[in-house]
Amino acid sequence: MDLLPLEDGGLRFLEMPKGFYDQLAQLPELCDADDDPLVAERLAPSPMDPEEDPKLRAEAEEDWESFVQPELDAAHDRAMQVVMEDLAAAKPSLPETLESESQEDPEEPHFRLDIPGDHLDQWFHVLNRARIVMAMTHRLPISENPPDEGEQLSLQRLFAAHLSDSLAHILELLVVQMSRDLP
Amino acid sequence: MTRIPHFSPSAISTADPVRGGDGGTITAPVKSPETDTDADLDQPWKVIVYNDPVNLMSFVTLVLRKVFGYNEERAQTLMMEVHMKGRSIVWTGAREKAELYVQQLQGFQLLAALKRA
Repeated sequence: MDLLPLEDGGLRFLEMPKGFYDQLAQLPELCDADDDPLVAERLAPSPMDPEEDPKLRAEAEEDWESFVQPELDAAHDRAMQVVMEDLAAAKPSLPETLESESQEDPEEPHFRLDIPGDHLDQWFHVLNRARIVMAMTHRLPISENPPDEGEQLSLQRLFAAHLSDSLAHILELLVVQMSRDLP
Repeated sequence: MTRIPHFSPSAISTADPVRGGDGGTITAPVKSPETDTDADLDQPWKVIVYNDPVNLMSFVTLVLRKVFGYNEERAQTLMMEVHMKGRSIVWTGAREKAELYVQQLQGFQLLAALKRA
């Protein structure tokens, strides 16, 4: 997979393997926290420091839930929509070059994915949220949450760790690209 | 005893939390007359960012730059303080502006909250 900067400040991913594209297409599910109250709490934390007066904290949380959280949720939905539209617009293409020792199937479709410059914020948000949800759901990073003695590391956790690392790489690329616009 | 005012919805919806703010997107908040007092207006509030094992260091630095307009050096210093000490006071000032900053920081999924200074 190669990367090119776009003239509008965005990024173009060339020859994205279908397997990775399919994983990105799962971002709505990866970001979903509805079934897990702990994840939901992490994504919508209290706006008040834990050491603040409990009464003041309770009032602030109530107001936050009424006035602010709906806006944050709506912003997330908009960001997800932008990301999914970019993914839907990705063009399938056969890889032009594959290294001779590559394990990839030369006949498997690859994708060219453009992230326009004005969509970087939305990708930044969605990828990070997916990493947070995966970290909580699968107890990542594994290095800090190793299996208990006698317990086997599940393939599901390994896949989640691998995907989280892949998303982190994309996030790092986005950070570099977005930093260029800042004073 | 002075009652701290509730969040004022009119002060909150000025910036898209996902797109973040560059400082220029924050407009003067509208005060709610039934709750504001002189003491409230005088009282500074701290915006605190807490450590999180998932958010990338570069991600946190960029968010601090985008939200507060800090230069890279300042943002990195604050990010490292979060990383090493578990929390950092990233801004201090009026409550309504502090609320906007916390909203933007939480929009980027940073663990952020307010505390009276």
